[in-house]
Amino acid sequence: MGLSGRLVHFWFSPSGREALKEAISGGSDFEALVVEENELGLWIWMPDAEQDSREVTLLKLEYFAAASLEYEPPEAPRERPGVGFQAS
Amino acid sequence: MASSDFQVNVPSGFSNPDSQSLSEVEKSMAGAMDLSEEQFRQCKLDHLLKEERRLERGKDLGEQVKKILGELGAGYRLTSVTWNSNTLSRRLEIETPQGPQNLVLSWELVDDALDSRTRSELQRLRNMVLFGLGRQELIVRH
Repeated sequence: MGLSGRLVHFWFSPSGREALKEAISGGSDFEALVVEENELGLWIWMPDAEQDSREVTLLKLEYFAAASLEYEPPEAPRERPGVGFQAS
Repeated sequence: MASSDFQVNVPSGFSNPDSQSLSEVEKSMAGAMDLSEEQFRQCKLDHLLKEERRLERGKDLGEQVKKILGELGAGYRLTSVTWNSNTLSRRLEIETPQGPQNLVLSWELVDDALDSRTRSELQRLRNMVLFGLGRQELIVRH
């Protein structure tokens, strides 16, 4: 399931709460838009932040304990598009 | 490819778009790839059909993006959708009141939205377009 473009509700893990206590204020959970996902983790933008800002924060996978989001499964699996020129 | 009011571009891997005839260069390529001309012709046809599907998908994506831009009022206009086969992404060129902007969307995001057309997947597309254009104040949970 791709996460980019989704608004996700996260709950901190203990290590995440400690690591991000200055970057993300508030309680044990927060909502964020996932802008990109890569091997480092999730790059998120928080709607509660200054609205004009496009600054994003790296949320390492170990920094959250749980997440919830709205999801509707696709009706059928998709194939990755082929690239280039290949003989069968 | 001219669409209603935006361009859809899929750079072709072939300078000779005729799927039936092979140029001298293509014939030599077939030999270099250890393929018969008939095998090469079939591969070329398959490749050209993929390009055609990518053109149609680009047009479909453009229509969806136009709907999103319609929410933003005057001054926003999609000018082109271009497929990048190296990064498997689509680049959107959009005129905005602040000047032209480019947005890059991954094939996964685009295919998720266009294949399923569910509200949540189309919402992902909308969110990424709004964020890319700096209109994140419009991103809210519905």
